[in-house]
Amino acid sequence: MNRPIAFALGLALLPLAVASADPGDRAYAARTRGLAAGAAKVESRVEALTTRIRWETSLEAALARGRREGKPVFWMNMLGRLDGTT
Amino acid sequence: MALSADPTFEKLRTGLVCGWRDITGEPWSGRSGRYDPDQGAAWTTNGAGPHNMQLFVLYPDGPDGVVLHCLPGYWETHDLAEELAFAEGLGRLWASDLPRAEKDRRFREAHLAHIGAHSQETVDRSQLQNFDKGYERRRRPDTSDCILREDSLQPRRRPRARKPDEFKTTDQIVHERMAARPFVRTQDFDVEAFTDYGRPKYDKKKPVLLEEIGETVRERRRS
Repeated sequence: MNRPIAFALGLALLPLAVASADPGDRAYAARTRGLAAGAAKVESRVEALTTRIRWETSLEAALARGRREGKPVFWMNMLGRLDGTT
Repeated sequence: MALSADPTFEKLRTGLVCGWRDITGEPWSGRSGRYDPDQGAAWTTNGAGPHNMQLFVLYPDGPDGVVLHCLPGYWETHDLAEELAFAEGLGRLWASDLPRAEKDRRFREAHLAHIGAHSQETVDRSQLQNFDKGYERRRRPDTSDCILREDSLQPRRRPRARKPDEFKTTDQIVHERMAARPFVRTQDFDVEAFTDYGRPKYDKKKPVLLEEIGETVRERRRS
């Protein structure tokens, strides 16, 4: 199926899926299915993530900072870039 | 999205030192469909896309750190914040004066006990994707640690949604795998084995939406 058509169809059918589910299903669906955020929201979130948090790109530097600041290190391996395409 | 939403965002901003690297080209990394911020974001389940992303919490000890926790794939922000707080507790354990054997024992116990501490909502959000279940069922029906068997640790809660099946939830799978790896140095952590569940290729949006369409069609046929 053409990708944009499949995406549009998915969005169109989403209310049907949620409406036919029991309350437990609805709670589950609320945070596991469908569109979480549109493009504008995602872009603003990415900007906040990359500007309000100082990210290290070397494990050595992150660990050194962790030792200095007395904090554990949150280290993310990801396919792609934090600030762009993944 | 999970990282940039509270409570995780505030925790990352104030309580941890953060870092990242691109794993494209690593032999154990996934192959993903291209995804840009201007395409929006879809909800998914905890642990989805384990080969595409791994979230570590490290104690900054020695040249490469000590792994306190590893969460493969996407994790919902509330669930992720809980796991980050849990890992901070393990950091205090590592820094304590206890003998190494006792630290390891408590590490294992803590990880296994935390499975039972997960809320019903966390468990609901932690179902394996259907295509990952299918992959495990086809490829290793007798050996997969993703399948709940009679001799498995029996979880306190099972997901409420969808039909019951034989699969563990990802919140159980990751804690069980971590319990088998107490306080491993980062360079010795076997990322490939740890993240080995489900299909190696994961498109973050398309399968979710296609799966949704399929389910809706099946529901309409039944009614």
